[in-house]
Formats: sequence, C-alpha cells, structure tokens
Amino acid sequence: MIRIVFNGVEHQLSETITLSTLTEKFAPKEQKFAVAVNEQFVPKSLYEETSVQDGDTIELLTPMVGG
Amino acid sequence: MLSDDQLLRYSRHILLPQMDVGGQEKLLGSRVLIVGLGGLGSPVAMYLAAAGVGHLVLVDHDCVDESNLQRQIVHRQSTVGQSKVDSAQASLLALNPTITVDVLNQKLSGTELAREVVASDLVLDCTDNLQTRLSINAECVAQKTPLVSAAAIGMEGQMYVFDSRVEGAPCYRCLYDESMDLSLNCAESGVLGPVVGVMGSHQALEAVKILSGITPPKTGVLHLFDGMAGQWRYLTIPQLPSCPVCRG
Repeated sequence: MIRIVFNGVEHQLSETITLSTLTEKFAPKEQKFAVAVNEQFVPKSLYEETSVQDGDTIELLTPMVGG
Repeated sequence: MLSDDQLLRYSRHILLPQMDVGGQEKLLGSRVLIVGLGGLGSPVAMYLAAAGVGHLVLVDHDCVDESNLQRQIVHRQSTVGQSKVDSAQASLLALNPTITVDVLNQKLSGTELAREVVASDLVLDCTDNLQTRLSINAECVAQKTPLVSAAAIGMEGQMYVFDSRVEGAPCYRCLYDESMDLSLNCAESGVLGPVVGVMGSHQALEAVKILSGITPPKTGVLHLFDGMAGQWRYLTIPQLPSCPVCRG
C-alpha cells in the first residue's frame, strides 16, 4: 500500500503508478495544470517516467492570472 | 550624491545597514516597467514610488471603474472613468513628486514591448491574462531583464521572481504554457482586496531587494499564499529542459 497526499488530501494506492496515470486518474481530460512532487515541479515530459513513491506529496497547480 | 531632502525622505531606508546610501542611490537610478495598474500594480507602483525608484513606466489600456476601487488602491473615486495610467500617475506624483512617472495608455506587445523591456532594469508583471504574461516573460528572457510576476484570485496568490541573468534559471514558461489557459480572472471569480495587496506588496519587496542589490535574487521559486489560512508555501521551479523560451 502506498500513501500519498494529493492536493492536501491523503489517499492510498494499491500499487505503484506513474505521475502520468495519477494525473489522469485525479484530473482527467485537458491537463491544464502544473504538477509539483514534494514541493518541486516536474516537467510534463517526465510524467511517464516518474513513479509516485510512498509518502509523496503531490499538488496540481493551475495558472493563476488575476491581477 | 544624495541631497539633504533625499537624505531626509529616505532616512528610514538608509538606516538599514543592508541598504545604506549606496542601495538608495541604486533605487534612485533605476528604471522599472510596471505592466498592469490594477490590484497588484497599485501597491507595487505606490511602494516603488515611495521608495524612490527614480523612473517608473506605467502600462495599462483600461479605465478606472467603480468596481476596481475595492482593491486597486492607487485609484480614487474622483478618477473613475479616467485611464488607469493617468489616474495612477497622479496618485504616485502626489506621493512622491521627485520621481519620473511615464505612462503608456495601451496594450504593449511586439517591438514596443521589447523597447520598453530593454530600457528597464526590472519588469513587474501585474497583468490579468496568461497570454500577456507569457509575452512579457519571453521578452524578459530575451533581454535578460529580471521579472517579478504575481497573480491573485479568490483568497490565494502566487508570486515568482525569474532572473535570466542567472545561468540555468527557469522562466515563467517552464511552469505554465499556453495550453493551461483557464482565463479565470478577478472579474469572474472575485478576489479579497488585501490578498491582492499582499501579493503586490511582496512583488514590491522583491523588486526593491533586486534593484538596490541588497540580496541576490531568489529565482525560480513559486511563493504560494493562502489568504484563508494565512500561510505561505514555497515550490521549486526547475528549468524545463525543453523550454522553447529559455532553452530555445
């Protein structure tokens, strides 16, 4: 069992998955966001090869543009 | 060489050992481009004018609306209907008549944007849409001009410093690209006035630190503010290996 915190909420995953699968699972359709793992942003090109680890904190951030 | 009037006006800066006379002289000799005179641009422009940043260039194509006054504190009830840049210029010169404030009542793009960025020591992005943010970023990378950018919506804010003078530094495009445009803005989603004030003040602080040279810029960190919880968090932005702007 893998425990992660996704956008501030704790989740349990039954198996190791990639960041790509995770973002599709939690935020389907158009991926209009940036993803940070343990407070560091991960380039989109690395989602496929990045595995989610036990204890990871993952956040999706959409561009904020209001000024 | 500071005059007696300047020594008095800026004495609380000069008392700071990190700033001293040298830092203040650098502020007085700086030229800064402020794009957007709304909720972020208001505190940015007011603090930089008060701080004695010698030459401010204000850009906005909009006019002051009554619904702006809840947060855009550089404007006044009496300037509703005026262009934002004229309204802001009057406020800033009332605050500090010893600086130069130029205005551009237009959207800035292409060669005009390039001309203004190259003439500036630092750019403050206080705009309200992703496209403009990406254009300003691209120009700042091309000219190696430090960029202090922020945004706010609802109860939250984001702020980032990007400095392309630093080898390997990321840029705004390393974080967000055109495909992520959700077009959420304050007019549609609302924003608590002091939240955007906190973000604009934070931009002004970073700008003063960079311009005076009192500390090296902390580039490539997303400062995330949660106004409801009153908490800050910091996320690292690595340079995108395939970034078409800063690695192109």
